[in-house]
Amino acid sequence: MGEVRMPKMGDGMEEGTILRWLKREGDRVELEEGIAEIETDKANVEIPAEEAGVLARIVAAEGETIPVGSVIAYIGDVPGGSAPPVGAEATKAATEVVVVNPAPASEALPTTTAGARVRATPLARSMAKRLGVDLSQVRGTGGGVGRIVARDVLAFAQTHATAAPPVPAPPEAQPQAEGYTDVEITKMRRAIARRTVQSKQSIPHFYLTMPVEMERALDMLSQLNAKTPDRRVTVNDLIVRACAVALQAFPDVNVSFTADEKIRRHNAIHIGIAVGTEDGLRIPVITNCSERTLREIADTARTLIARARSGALTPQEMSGATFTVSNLGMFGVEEFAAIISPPESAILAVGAIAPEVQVTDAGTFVAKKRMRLTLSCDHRTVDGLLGARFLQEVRRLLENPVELLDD
Amino acid sequence: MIQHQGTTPSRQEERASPDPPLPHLTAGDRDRSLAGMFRLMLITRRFEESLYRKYREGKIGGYLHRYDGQEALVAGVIPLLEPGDYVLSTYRDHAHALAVGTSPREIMAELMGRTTGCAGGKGGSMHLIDPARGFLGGDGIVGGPVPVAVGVGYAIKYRGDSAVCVCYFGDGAMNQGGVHEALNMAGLYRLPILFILENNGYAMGTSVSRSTAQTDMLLKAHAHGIEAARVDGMDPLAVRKTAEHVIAEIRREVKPYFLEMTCYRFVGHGVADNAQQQRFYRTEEEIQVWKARDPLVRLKDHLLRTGELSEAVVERMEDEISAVIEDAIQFAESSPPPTLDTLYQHVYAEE
Amino acid sequence: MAVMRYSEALRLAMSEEMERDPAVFVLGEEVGQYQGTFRVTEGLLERFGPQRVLDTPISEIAIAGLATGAAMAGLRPIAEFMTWSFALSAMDQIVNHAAKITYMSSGRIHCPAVFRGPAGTGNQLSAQHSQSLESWYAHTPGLKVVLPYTPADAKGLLKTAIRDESPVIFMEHAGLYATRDEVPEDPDFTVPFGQAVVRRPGTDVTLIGYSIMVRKCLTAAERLAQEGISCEVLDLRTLTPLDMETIVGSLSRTHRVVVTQEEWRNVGFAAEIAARLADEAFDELDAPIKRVGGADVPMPYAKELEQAAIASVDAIVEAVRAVMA
Repeated sequence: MGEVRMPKMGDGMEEGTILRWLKREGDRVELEEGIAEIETDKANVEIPAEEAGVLARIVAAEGETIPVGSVIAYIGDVPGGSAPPVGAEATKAATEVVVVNPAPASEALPTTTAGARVRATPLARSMAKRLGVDLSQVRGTGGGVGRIVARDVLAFAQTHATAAPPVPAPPEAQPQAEGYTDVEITKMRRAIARRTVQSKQSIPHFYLTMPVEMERALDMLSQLNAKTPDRRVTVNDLIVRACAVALQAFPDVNVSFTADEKIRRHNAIHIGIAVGTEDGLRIPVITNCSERTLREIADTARTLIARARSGALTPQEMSGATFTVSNLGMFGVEEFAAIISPPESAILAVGAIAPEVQVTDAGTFVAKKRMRLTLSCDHRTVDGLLGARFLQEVRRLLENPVELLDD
Repeated sequence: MIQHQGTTPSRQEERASPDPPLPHLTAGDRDRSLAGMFRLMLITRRFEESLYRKYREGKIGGYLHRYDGQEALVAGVIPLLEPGDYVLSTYRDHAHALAVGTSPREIMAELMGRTTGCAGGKGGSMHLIDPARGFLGGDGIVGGPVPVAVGVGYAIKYRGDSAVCVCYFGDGAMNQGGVHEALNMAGLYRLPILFILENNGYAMGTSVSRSTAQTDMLLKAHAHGIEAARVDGMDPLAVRKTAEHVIAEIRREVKPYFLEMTCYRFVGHGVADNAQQQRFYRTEEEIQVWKARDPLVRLKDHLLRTGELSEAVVERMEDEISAVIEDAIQFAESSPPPTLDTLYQHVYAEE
Repeated sequence: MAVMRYSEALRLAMSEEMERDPAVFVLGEEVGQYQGTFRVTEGLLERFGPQRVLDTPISEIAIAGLATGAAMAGLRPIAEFMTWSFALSAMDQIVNHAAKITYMSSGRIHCPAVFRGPAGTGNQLSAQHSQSLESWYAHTPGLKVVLPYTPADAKGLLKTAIRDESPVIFMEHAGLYATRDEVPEDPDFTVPFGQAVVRRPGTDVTLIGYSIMVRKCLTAAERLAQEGISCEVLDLRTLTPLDMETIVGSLSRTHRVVVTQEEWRNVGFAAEIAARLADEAFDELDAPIKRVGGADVPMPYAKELEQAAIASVDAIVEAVRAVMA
């Protein structure tokens, strides 16, 4: 019988929650066919079957959160699964428990006298704990001595559904007398909470802010977009492209600080773009940015953002960034400092473009469109000088945007 | 010479010694004069005395086997060796390390279990080693180095070098089976090995006459087809002259040779074998008879007579040596112990 | 690929390495003129001459000592013991000298020697010639312990052993010398240490063995398959280094394990594996760990007693049924 285990669907995923089973016990399952939908830190995804067969047993209930690598179901040839044909008596006894005492737990015959230690294998114990099965209620069939083995726990759990742990309450508000409301948080919210705390606690952040004159960039974009209105290139795309080119010039910013205290220089430049959605922050990744033209970056970003808004991003699409751009300019935020997304070393926060009065060399005043960029750096890998030079290069590119046009 | 895929430095490219420049104090300089031999014997004696002091202070752990009284066996032979030759010895190995030129600092540090020791602090008193100088180590097992020496001798012959392997062992080893297996093979294959039997009369507390029916050690060598000679190890000039002759013969004819050097250890087997303990197996009178033949005094008297040394030079030598030892002690005491992350290092070669 | 005997594969490994590296030489009792007690060194004397194929007296201490010293002085000796039973007198040289010199010198000198020869039980050879002692060496830090099962492994592992900078205990099995199978003729073919291999995949029980026990495990697995029990058979190939990852990986699929060894059961290598699994994979166990090994007696001569003393296919089948109960 094949085991279906909670799959690791992306970076840093440690557990997943079963949202719903797409197949029922006894259903035929084809290879790669979705059998359950799970919620991870980053997205909701389907678990594809790794083998064809019959969904023999479901071990994890809907709503249950299961560590990566733990068994959530079994796929076998026969509905209900089959114990290996061993000592016929033992098998018969197990069958009898299932068939004769299908309902309340109290009717199951305890196999040990009260107070005596329950004999069960380590696997059976850990499985019982996970399924909320009281081992003293399970009849053991193993080892010729009535030891409880995994198959006994599974059989018991299957026939005593009430013994399963309660499904966690749905994330809805519960009124409280004290005048506040505790809201269950989503996995995504929990992931954001965990990641940001971890980042702020472990990464020594520092921040560099620099104004960039955007007149020429805006001119160029309006010319570009006039030609192909259905393939718009945004200011953000231009900034991503500028960052990619600048990261090529400053590979020491495209790095990670490793657990064993080394600086890992990434060969490829993958830039995450922070997208705010109703559920929270999602950061899809534009891979291999240095190999993409401005147009290609724009096209990819457009698709990813649409998928982010509809919740369709896969964990793969949100993994592996080496640098991130976060833009709140469209909301009128003048400037802000972003939290680095580990294991990256820096994140660029983009503010709004607004006219600013400037004194010209001739001593007259002139209004120019300006934008403020704030680079958050991990001081373990990026010093102030390096950060400043990198930021200067980003500015230089944005102020000379022709260099960012397709080669 | 030690060559692991050509990575180990040859003795000609010895690593720089961390010592202050004090010439003629070790045989590493290949000082083959009798005055040089005397200096080496003197530093050996003084070094052992300082080790005993440090042992009593609790700075040195484990066993401590001193060479007092036997110095001529090493100082008469090892300075005659050439780059490419090898030395193996027993657990009574401090003298041998000093003679091949291992720095007193590294020896002292090894005995104090410091990372700067010649075995990185993992060997200790019985396992001093200096492969770069051809010293393949002391050995804690009685008779243990003799079969190993046969392999070293075989490697020399295999490569067609004119090198010599000198293997030291005691009278107790002559009753070890493996020693006879090894002597037989050395005789059979005619391997260029100088076997030096340090016959100090006692295997720990058991005298030669109480441990073997055939006390003529030369016969035992002859039984394995190996030429053998006996030399008075308390007579430095005799040791030196015999060694010169025999080493030249081994190089010329590529064959083994067995030298029994009769001698006496002035102190106990180890530190625990104190004066009181020694009363169980030897008398004070016997010790005094042998001490009266102290090779150090004998060689000094000879050199004063011939004018090769003066009292003033000896005095200066003593001063220099005590400075070297003081420096070694300070070096060792200020060196760090190995860090715990090295515990699992060097179990296998690739680590 | 060429089909050849286990013994021929060993010879090929040695001759290829002697061809490749002039520092490699063979020594031992009857390895030259006599052409090897088990014909493993047949023809090597004629090909490489008496210096590189050295006939020795029956002196195991000096054989081990010569190999140790020559290795410390830069050569790459392959010391053959006529059987591992005879190597017992060489224990001091192997355990106190070869195994420890690297550590005692903090890595200043190495001992790249191979100690090889046949081990194992059977053929009514009785107490002093019929035994398996691999745990004695696996117990000793500084030694690598290798026990090939297939002819291809015999060649590939021996070549790795000869090239290794540490002393290697290479235990062949007299009962496998005549086994024939495909062996890569590529002189660069080697088999790395520390990688167990799945000889037969299965889902119900993991059967662990090495050397001739792999054959017994495979036979048992075949028989058990007819009862509907699917056994996964692992061949450890090297005891030091030990591939716990593959072992734990298999147990995580089957949740049941039987560990087999030819040597005496008491304090044998299977006990080490059992202890490590209890420690590293406790929650994967759905049955007690069973061991199969030789009876804890000096090997008797009489055929009936001998058969009862040697770890058998029947014993493995019984153990599997017990963990499946």
